[in-house]
Amino acid sequence: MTGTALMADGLGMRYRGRRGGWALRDCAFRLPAGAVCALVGPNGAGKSTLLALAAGLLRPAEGTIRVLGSAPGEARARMAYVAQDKPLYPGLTVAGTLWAGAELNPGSWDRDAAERVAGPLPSDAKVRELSGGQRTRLALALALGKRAELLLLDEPMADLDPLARHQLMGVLMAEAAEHRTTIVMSSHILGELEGACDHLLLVDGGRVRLGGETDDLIAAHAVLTGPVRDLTPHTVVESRTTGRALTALVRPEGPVDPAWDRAEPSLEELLLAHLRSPEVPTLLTPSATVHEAVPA
Amino acid sequence: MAESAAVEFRIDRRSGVATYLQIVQQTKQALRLGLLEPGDRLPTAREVVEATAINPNTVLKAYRELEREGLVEGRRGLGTFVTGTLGGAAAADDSPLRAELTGWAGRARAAGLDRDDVSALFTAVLDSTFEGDQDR
Amino acid sequence: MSALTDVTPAAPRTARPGPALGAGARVLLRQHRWALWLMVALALVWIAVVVGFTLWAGHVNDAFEASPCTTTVTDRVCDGRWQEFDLALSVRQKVLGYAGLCVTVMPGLVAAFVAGPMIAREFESGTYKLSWTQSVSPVHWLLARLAVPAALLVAGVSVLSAVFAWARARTEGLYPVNRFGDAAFGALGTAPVAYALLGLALGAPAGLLARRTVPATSMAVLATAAVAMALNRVRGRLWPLNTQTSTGSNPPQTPEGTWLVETGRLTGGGGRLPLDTCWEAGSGADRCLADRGVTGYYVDYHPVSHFWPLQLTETGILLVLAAAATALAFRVLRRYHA
Repeated sequence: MTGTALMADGLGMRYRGRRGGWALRDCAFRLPAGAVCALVGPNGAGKSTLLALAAGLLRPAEGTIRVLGSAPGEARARMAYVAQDKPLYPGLTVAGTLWAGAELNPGSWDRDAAERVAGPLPSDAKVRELSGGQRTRLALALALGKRAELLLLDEPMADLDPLARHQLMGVLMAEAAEHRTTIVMSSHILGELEGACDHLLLVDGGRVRLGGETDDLIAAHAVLTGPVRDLTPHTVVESRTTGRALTALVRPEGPVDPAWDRAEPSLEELLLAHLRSPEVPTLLTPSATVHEAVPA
Repeated sequence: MAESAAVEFRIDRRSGVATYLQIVQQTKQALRLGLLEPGDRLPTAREVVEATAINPNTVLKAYRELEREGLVEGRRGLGTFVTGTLGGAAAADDSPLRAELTGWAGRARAAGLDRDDVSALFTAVLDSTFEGDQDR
Repeated sequence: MSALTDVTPAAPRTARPGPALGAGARVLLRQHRWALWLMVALALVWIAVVVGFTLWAGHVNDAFEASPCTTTVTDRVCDGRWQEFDLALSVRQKVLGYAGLCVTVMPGLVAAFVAGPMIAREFESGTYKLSWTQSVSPVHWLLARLAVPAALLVAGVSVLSAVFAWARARTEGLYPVNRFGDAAFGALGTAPVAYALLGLALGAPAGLLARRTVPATSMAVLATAAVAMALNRVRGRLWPLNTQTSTGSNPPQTPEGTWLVETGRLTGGGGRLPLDTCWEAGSGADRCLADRGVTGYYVDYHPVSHFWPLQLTETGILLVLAAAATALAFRVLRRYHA
């Protein structure tokens, strides 16, 4: 039996003032516990809003979001969140920040985990003297020291050099391997996360476009190449005609005509095709669906 | 803590080969070359992902595959241990097969084939010999 | 270290104790420790100045009284001693006036600090996202920001108030500092503590509503100043006044140290007229007054015995306002987070 780490239903968020638009609307998805999920989408898609809602920093304008089976405010001690701008108390030193983490999370603080990540940082340096990458490292140290069941990381790798990125991603994966920690990481660069994540949530224009296990999402699509002809009954995500040849990324509905040359899309192809075709309906795998799908 | 693991995996993201398959292939390669022997412990999922930054499930999937092929065995709380062998003798430095192949490669070179030609020829022969007998 | 087959589901970790308020308080103190040291240093300087000048003036006063000189004796020696005596006591009066003013202004500073650096800057710099996602709820976060300064202010301002009361009590006689004076009243008794708590309580909603340091600080200072000025204006009416009347050409004499709230002319029928009635009549003033039936003076005043009733009434009003501001702050906070 797997529990649910994150579940949104009809979730919407609108910021007051700022153009009054919806940052997120009609979001419904489920993320099983233990998943390592890439939250991807272009800038301004609503990724940060979704993470802030999950972290209990925002109150949804409509709908609900449940975190580890409770309201976000009640799950505060069991999840950790790293905001995109990596906010830290500027007046504290590195050591002081870790001390504050221990004070504020007395039930669960894991000093070794925090210090493993913060190790390379000068412990007497003031936070305001740190570089962007060093701040990220310290913010991640705080999050990992909390020994949370759910890590919500907004653009965690953006400021890191390749070496630090590899090392910290390794630390995160070890955390997931050892404690079955659920991790949600956002990025607008898929390459940062591919290989590390087994689940995917594609957010675009305030909506969830794709959600579920990466392997299942890829398996639900096919790249078809062949002579120009009708693609029904398949759901076409994107198609391109070059001379007499047609290349299409489709969601096969039923058997595929053997006249087509069929290939598996890469994750990147899949995401780009969806971003270029905003009208394609949302696809959630069964494990990512909130209301149990009625078998057809 | 158990003794340190006997192999280390290198993951090449741009190889086009699925990550779990890279682990399977590298394990088999190590078995063929005699770098891994029955009784050796494979690195834990945690050790692998910490070093390679790949998803833990990928490692588990590879280990399940190896287990299915009867090459390794997971022992609860202890780790994953090598139980099978893979033509280890044939790949050793002094095996007759290797000596024959060395001789053949020398003749191919003398016949004017360069490295790529030899490799292509070898792969083509491998493909026709082991057709329908692939890993996947 | 887990092996392949040993990836056990995370143990249920539901019974996690949340941090006590003390943890939030310790982190808050460390975050703002420079401000704390600065406040402590300023308070110590203030105490040193008030105590120093009071002791010095008291010493000069004692020396003068021990000498054969009095304020009415004039000779070369006594003139010099008298000048020194006069200077010391007038300087003490000025110093205590400024010291009282400092205490009166302090609630504004408290409001500014709480609204700006303590609350609004967390929003401006985004550190509230860090604070609110530890195991501390936003409510605890705000509670620490109110409780810690409140405890420090109650302790610290009580000391200032006691020191000021001690110094003021030494000024009776020449150049007194009236306990009802604008600067003194707000630095004596319980009022300064209540004003400081009000500043603190007004700072919280200002910081939460403005969410930016400069507007939050301005809002908090303006609100605190508005309350202080309003109360200053109505202070005399917060407790029933005593009245004395006199007939003839001299106002009634009230005891030393009283607060004359209003003085005016009284008619034979008991009617009240302004003090400057008939001033413009010049030499015909007597006739003018007689025409209007003025027979004497009245004085509305607070005797010294009204000091504590007035203090406690004002304190009560301030604490009610502070409680309302605190409730508003928590209400605003609840709107933000889940």
